[in-house]
Amino acid sequence: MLNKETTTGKIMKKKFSNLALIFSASFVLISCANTHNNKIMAGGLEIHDPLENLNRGIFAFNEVVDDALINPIIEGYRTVVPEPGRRGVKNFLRNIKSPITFANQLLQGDIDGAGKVFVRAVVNTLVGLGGIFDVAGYEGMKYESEDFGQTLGVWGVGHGPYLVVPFLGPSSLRDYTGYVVDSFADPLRWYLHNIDREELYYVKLGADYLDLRTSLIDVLQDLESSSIDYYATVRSTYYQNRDALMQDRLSAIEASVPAFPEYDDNF
Amino acid sequence: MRTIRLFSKILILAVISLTLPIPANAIESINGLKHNQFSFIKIEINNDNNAENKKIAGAENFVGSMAQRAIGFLSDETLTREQQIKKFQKLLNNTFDMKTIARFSLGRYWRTSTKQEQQEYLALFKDMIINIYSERFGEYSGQNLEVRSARTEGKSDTIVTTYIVPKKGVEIQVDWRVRYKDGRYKVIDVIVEGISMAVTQRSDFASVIQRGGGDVNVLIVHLQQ
Repeated sequence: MLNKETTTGKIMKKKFSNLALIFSASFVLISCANTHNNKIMAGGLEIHDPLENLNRGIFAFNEVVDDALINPIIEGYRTVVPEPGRRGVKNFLRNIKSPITFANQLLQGDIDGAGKVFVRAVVNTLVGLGGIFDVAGYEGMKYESEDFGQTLGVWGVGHGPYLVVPFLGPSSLRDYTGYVVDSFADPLRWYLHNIDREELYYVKLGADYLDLRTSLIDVLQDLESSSIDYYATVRSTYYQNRDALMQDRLSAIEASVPAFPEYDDNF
Repeated sequence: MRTIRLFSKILILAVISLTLPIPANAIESINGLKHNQFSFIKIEINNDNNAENKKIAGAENFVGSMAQRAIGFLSDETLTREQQIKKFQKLLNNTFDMKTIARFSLGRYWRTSTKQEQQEYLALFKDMIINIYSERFGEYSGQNLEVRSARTEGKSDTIVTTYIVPKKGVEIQVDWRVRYKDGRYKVIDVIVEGISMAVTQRSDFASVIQRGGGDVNVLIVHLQQ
């Protein structure tokens, strides 16, 4: 028994050193990336897309995959599970992510936010049947999405290059790094690893993905039909959305909006 | 023994995490939060009965009445679909400052285009916005729009924060950027859950023009389709 524990410990240690490696490597990459100067300024957004041609190719590939595979799955999910059920799934997934959300709030220096996550997790787990019902949210304590990508952003790390990854979709180097760190730091993963059921964690990641894509499908369809360059439009909304998420700890008064110059009317 | 060892480990971890250098930004953000709470109170007191408050209230009323009018005819079952869309387009024309939105969306390419290109673009842009919004709001199914707060932004703008409240399901935050000009309020941007329609439009157009070799006519051709 003891023996098994030490091996697990060793594996965990190895995982952590790998993690540290990934982490430091990404930081180096990010800082290198920031020294490049081919940035696109779009309405106050700083978008850095040095791999645009490759990204566009993968984006086109993902669109094919979406049409052939992802969207039919989402349609099926929406047909089989009605909206209240899908809300339950979303709430449950958010609830089991609480330790990560909590840690990121702390790392961002948002003590109030961390307290909120804690109360939400306790209330929703106990009263909301294991997190299926967002009782705390109903009482005015709304969910705030936190991840390590946002934490890095709060610490002043830039996005680095914009990346479109096959199947997973658009993000930035910083945010993908954050995603990897979050998933390895998740106590749920340690737990499942320790009881030799780590595959369940991949089920959870799959469920996260399905949930995210389901909530995005209408928005993306709207963006596609209302834009000329769908790729550029998605890229812009990605950065705007991440900015908005990072600002959630600010009150409405401080949250920034893009600069909008006043124009002379005789143009 | 094992529990003691565990506890000492936790203790050591706690000490290490406390002594870890806290990033400057994190401290700033804590201070910012405190400062923020105070400035909020200050604004509340200082702005009592002054012109700024009037402007904010005016903008709130403007957005509220615009929404009420839209909901009024979108839920009016005596009107046909075409009549509803006609009315909606008229409302958009009266309440949105199309010229300003169009100019913002073209970004730096506005100045590099000729007068004729600008006029052509302006007309096409207007049609496009009206089509997009008619489609978006055409799917109306009993949602309500609640005006919750407003604040000034810059010299002549007000951000009115509203929520689209459906009969069932999640609320959506929609911020309206309203500009006061020539004695009238006009919408110049709609920000849905932090995503600005004007900024998104601008990114789209900028990319189309850049990839077309910097020629505005490439965009105009696309808009004509």
